[in-house]
Amino acid sequence: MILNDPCHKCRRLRQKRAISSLSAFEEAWLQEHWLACPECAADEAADLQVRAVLRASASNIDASHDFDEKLLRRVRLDRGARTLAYWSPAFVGAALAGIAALALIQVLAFRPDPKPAVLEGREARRVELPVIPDSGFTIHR
Amino acid sequence: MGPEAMASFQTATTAAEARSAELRLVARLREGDEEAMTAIIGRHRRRIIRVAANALRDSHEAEDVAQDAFIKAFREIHRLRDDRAFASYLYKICVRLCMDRLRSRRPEPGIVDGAEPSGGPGVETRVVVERLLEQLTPCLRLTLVLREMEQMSYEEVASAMNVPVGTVRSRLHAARERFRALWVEATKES
Repeated sequence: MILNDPCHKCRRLRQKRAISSLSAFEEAWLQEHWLACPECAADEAADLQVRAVLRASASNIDASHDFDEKLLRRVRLDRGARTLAYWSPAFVGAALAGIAALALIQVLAFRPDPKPAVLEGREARRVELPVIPDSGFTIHR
Repeated sequence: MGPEAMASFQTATTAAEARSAELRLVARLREGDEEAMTAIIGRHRRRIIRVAANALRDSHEAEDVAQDAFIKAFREIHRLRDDRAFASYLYKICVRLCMDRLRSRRPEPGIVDGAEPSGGPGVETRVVVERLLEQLTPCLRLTLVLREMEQMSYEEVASAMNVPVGTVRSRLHAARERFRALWVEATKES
C-alpha cells in the first residue's frame, strides 16, 4: 500500500514543508527516515545542493562609478519634463489669451469712421454755364 | 550585562538609528531635497542593482532597471503612505520592472553544453544557472531569485511581488522542482 510506504510519506512531508511548515514531530520523523533510507537522503541532499548552487551563483556586482551622477541627471531631467508638462496647458492658454487680446486691441483701435470721407476737389459745385442763344435746334435725348 | 547581550543591544540600537535616519531622509525626499535623494541612493543602490542583476542576469540592464526604479520611486513618493515602508516600496518597484523586462524577453532555447555544473560556483556553473533560469517563467524565476539568491523571507518576497505568502510558497516549490529537474538534466548531459 502506497499510504504505508515511508518514502511516499517522506515526499509528502517534504512537499508540505515547502508550502507550509512541519511540526517538530514530523521534522524528527524525516530525520530518522533519512538515516534509514539512503535514496530519500540523496534526494534531499540533491535539493540542498541545488539551493547551494543557486546561492553561490548570486550576482554580487556593484554599481558603476558614475551610477549616482547619471541617476541624479536623469532625476533632474525627469523633474524638468514634469514641470513643463504640468505648466504647458497654462502656457498654451496664456498664449491663446494674449493673441485674442491683441486681436481685440487691433479691432478697437482701427475701427472704421462711420462718416463718409469728404475728398477735397471732388466736391459737387454749382457751375455757372454760359447761356447759349437759341439756335432753333432741339436736342433729343 | 554580558558581552553577548551588550553586542545585541548595540546592534538593535544601530538598527533603530538607521531606521530613524531613513525616516528623516524620506521626509526630506518628499520635499524634493536632492541631498536626501543622494543619501537614499547610496543606502539602497547596491542591493537594488544586485536584485535586478540576479533577476535579469545582465549587469547593464540591471543598472538601467535600478535607475528606473529610483526615478519611479522618487516621482511617485506621494503614493507611499507609510515612510517606514520606503525600502519595500522601492524593491517592489524594482521587482515589477524586472518582471516587465523578463516578460518582454523572448524565451531562449534551453541549450546547455560544455558546462560543469557539479563543480564549485565557478564561471561555468554561473553560466549554467543563468541558462537554466532563462527556462523558468518570469514569476517562478523571480520568486526563486528573491528567496534563494537574495535570501529574502517569505513575507518580504510576498511584499515585493505583491502576492500572498501562500502563493510565494507554492511558486517557490514549483520553481525549485523545475530548476532541480533542469539541473539534473544539465548534469547528465555534461
